[in-house]
Amino acid sequence: MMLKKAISTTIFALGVTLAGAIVTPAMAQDQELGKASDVVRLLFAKHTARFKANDAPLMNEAGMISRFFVDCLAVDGLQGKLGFDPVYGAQDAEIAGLKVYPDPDMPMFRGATQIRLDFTNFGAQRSFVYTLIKAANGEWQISDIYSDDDGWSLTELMRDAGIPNVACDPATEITLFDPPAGGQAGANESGMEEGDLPAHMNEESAMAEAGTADPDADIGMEQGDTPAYTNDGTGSDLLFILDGSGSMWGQIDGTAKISTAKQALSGLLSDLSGQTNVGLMAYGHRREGDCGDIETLLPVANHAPEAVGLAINGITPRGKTPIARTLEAAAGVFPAADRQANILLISDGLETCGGDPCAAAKALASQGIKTRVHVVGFDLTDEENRALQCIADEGNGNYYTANNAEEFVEAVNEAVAATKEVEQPAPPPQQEAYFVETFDGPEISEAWSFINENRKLKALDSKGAMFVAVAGEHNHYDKQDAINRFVLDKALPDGDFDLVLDARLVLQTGREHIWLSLMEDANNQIGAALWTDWKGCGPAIHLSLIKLAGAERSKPEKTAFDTSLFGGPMVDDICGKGRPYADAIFRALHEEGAVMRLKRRGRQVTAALEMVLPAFEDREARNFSIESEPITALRLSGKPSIFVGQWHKGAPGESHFYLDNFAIESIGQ
Amino acid sequence: MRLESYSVPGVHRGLKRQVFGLAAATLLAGTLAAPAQETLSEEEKARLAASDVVIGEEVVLPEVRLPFSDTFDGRQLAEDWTVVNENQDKYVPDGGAIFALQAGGKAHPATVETDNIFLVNGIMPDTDFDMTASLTLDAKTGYEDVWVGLRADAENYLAANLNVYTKGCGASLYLRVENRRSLAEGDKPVVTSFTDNLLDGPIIDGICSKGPRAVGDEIIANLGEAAFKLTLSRRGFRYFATIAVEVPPHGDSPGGLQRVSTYSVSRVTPFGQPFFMLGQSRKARSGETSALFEDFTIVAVE
Repeated sequence: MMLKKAISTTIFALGVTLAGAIVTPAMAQDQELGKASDVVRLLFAKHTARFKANDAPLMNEAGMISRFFVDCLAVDGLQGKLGFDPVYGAQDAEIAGLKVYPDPDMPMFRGATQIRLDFTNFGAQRSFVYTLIKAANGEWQISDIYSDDDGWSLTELMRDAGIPNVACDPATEITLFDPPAGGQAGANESGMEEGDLPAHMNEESAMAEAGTADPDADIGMEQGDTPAYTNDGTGSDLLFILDGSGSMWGQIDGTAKISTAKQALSGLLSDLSGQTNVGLMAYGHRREGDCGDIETLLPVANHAPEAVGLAINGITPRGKTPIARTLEAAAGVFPAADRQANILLISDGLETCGGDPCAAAKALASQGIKTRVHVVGFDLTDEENRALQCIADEGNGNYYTANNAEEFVEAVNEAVAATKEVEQPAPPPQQEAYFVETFDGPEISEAWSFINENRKLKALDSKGAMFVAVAGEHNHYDKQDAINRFVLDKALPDGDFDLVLDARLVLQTGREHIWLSLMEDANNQIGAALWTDWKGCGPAIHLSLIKLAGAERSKPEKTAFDTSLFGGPMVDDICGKGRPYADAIFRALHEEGAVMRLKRRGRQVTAALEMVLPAFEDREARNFSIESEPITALRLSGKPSIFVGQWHKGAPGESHFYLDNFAIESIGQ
Repeated sequence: MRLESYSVPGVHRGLKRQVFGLAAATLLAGTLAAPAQETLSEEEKARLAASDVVIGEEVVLPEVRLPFSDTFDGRQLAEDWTVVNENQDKYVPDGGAIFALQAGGKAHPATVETDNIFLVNGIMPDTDFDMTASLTLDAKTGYEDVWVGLRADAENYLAANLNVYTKGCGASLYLRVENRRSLAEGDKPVVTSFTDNLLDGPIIDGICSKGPRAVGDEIIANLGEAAFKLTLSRRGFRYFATIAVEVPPHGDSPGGLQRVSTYSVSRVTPFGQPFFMLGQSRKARSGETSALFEDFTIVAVE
C-alpha cells in the first residue's frame, strides 16, 4: 500500500528498470536541512546587519520576528523585555568564526529540524541550537533557540519573564516568503520575497544593508566561516594556495615571480563563474624561517573578485615553503558541502619544512570524492617538477609547468579551467527490478510455492493485496510446520540485491511478525523481521535482523540485531505521553504499511524499514527509515521467502496482514 | 434421494454445498424412519442429506436481498426464517418481537442439539455488511449468551456474542467475536476469538470496587430494560463484533449510548447463513434466561 501510493520512491510503478531516478529519504532530508540552515543563516546575517548599522534590533520587531520565527513568539520589544540579545546570547557583540550546520547528532527530531549556530563573541566560543518546524506553506520557521553554553531556551526565558506568547494560527503563519497581505511586517524593509534567495542564500544582500558587500570585513571572517557560501550543491569551490616564500622574489625575464603570479591570478578572477566560490591561502608570507607561517586569507566563499584581488596583492613573500602542512590545513577551509572542491597550489619550490606534501595531498583527496589538488610548478627544474608532480597525482589533479610569465599565465588559466570541469557525480547504484510481484491478481506468479499452504487463511483481495491471517500458537518464522510460508523459486541475482516487501500489519494480538528472508529451511535463514510485542503499557514494534543456522531437528544458532523502534527511533516514552503517537504509528502501519528490505551488500546483510510516520497533533508527517547493523554471510544461499506469523501468546486471536508488493532489486555497481 | 434444485446467479459454488444442507433439513422431516428422527439432530440429518445429493442438481438458497429487516410483526415468523431444532415451547413471535427462553446451560452455536437457532433462508452476497439484532436480555442466571452471525453448522460459524458471566465479585459483561471452523480436511475445528470484558476497561473499570460494581450491576440490569444492539460486521475478509448499549452516568462520564468493538477474525470465502440465538453457558444449569428480540437487520456497507 505504502509503495503503491509513494510512486516517486518506488520501482514498482516504474516498470522493470529504474536507473538513478530515485529520490531517497536521505536526499530529501538533506534538502530540508539545507533550507532550515538557510533560515538560521539569514536570520543571523539580518540581525548582524542591523547590529552593525545601529538599527533597531530585529528581535524587537514583531513583524520581523514573525518572518523567521513561529508567529507565537513574535512579541514586540522582545529583546528589550528579555534584557539581552537572544541571537548573540549577550548584550554586546564582536562576532567571528560563524558556522551554521545541522546538528550532527540529531538533525531531525519528531519532524523538526535542529540547526547548530557556532561563533565566537569577543573571543568566547558560543554555541546555539535552533529548532525549526515547518509552516503550512512548507517553509521552516524557528520555534526555539537553545543556548548550549548557558542552558537557556528562548521559550523558557519568555515564560520565566512572564512574556506571553501572542496568538498564532498555523494556517496563517507568516514566513520569509509568505509575508502578511499588504507587505507589513517589514516585508519591504527586508525585501525578502520568493526568488530573493536563489540557491537558498542571499546573505550578501542582507550584509549589504549594513553598508558593506564584504562579509569578511563585517563580522571578522576566519577560517571556517561560511557566511557567503552558496550551498546549493551546484558549481565548484576553488582554493588558491599561493607560495609566499622568499624564493618568489626570484625574477624571470626581469619580473619577480610573485608579481607575475599576482597579475595572472587577479586577471582571471573576474572570469570565474558566479557559481565558483573562491578562497585564498598562503604560506611563508609573514615571517622568515617560520614553518608555521600558514594563513587562510579568505575561506572558500562567494567573495567579490575585488576582495580576492586585494587579498592576493597583499601577499609579501618572506619565508619558508611548508607545502604539506598547508595542504593539511586546507581541509578545513572548505565548507562541508557536496560540491566539487579544487585546490590550485602555485609553488616555485619544493617543501622546505620536512613535510611530505604527496602524502598530505593523498590524505586530502581521500577526505572527499570530489576533492582535486592541481599544481602549477613555476620556474622549477625537471627534477623539482617530478618531485611536485606527485602532489597532483595523489590529489587527483593535474600538474602544470611554467618557466616564464607567459607559460605561467597559460598554466594558471588551464588549471582554473580544469577546476570548472565539474566532476560528474558517480551515478547512484542502479536498481533493477529483477522480480516483481504486485499481488494484483487474478493469480500470483507461478514462481511462488507454499510450505504448509492453507488456503483458508490467505487470499488475494480485490484491492491488489494478498490478505493473510494467522491463527494458533505455533506459527513462528522459525517453525518447520508454520503455515503459509511463501517461497520464491527464482535464482538470486548475481552481486548485491534487495529483497523488498511492502506490507501492512494490523495490530490485534500484539504478537504479529512479518519475516522477509532467504531460506534454505526453517533452521537456516537470514531475514528481516518486523514484529510487535505487548507489555504493560501497550504494544511496541521492533525491527530485527536474524540469522539462523543449524541442522534439521536441532536448535539453530541465532545471530541477531534488534532495534526497538518505540524506544527512540520512531517514538519514545510509550508508557507516557508518547503512547498516543505510538498508537497512531500502528494505525499507519495498518492503513499505509511499511517497506521492509533485506539488503545484501557483498558479504554483509542488513534489515531496513521505510515508512511514512503520520501527522499527529503537533507532529508533521515525515519519512522514516532505519537500517540494522550488518550480519556477515560468507556463503549466502536460500530462496526468497515471505512469512507472516504470530508468537504463541497471539492465540486464541488472529493476526492479520496485507502483502502489497514484493520485489527483488538487483543493485548494479 | 433426489431433490429438486434451483440455482441463483452469483451464488458462490463452494457455498452451495454448505447451504444446501440446512435448507434440505427442513424438507427431510417425515421422510426418515421414526427411530432415526428421534435420535438424529436436524444438522446431522442435513449432513446426511448433503452426502446423498446428486452432483449437478444441488439445492441452493437465494442471496439475501439487502437491506434485510424483520421487526417480527405478527404472530408467526416470516417465511424468511428457518428455526433449527425448533422448540416452540421456548419461543414465541409476540407481535413486534420474538420472546425467547433458554434453559439447561447447553445452548451454544457449537452444540448440535441447541434449539431455536433462528436462521435466515438465504446466503449473504459477497459484500461488506453490518448484521444487527436489537434486543433486551433478562440476565437472571448470570450466565447468559446472545449470538448474531453466520452459521453453516455447529463446526462452522462466525458470530458476535454478548455474554454475562459471573465470577468472584459479581457478574460482568463480555463482548466477543468467535470464529469456529476446520482449517484442514478432517481436522478438528479451530476456534479463534477476541474477547473484551466491557466492565474492565471499555465501558467502566475496576468492576470489583464499590462504585464501579454498582454501575456494572446497573448496566447489566438495564440490558433487560432498554434495547441494545449487537452487531457482526464484515469488512473485506475481516469480521468484528460491536455492542451499542446505554450506559448510566458514572464518575465524570455523563453516560449515554456507548459503542465498543472487538478486533477482527477472518474468513476468505463466503459461508453460512445469517442467524441469531439466545444461549446460556454451562453454569446457568437449570436457571431460565429470557430475551426479547425486537428486530434483526442486515445492511450493506459500501
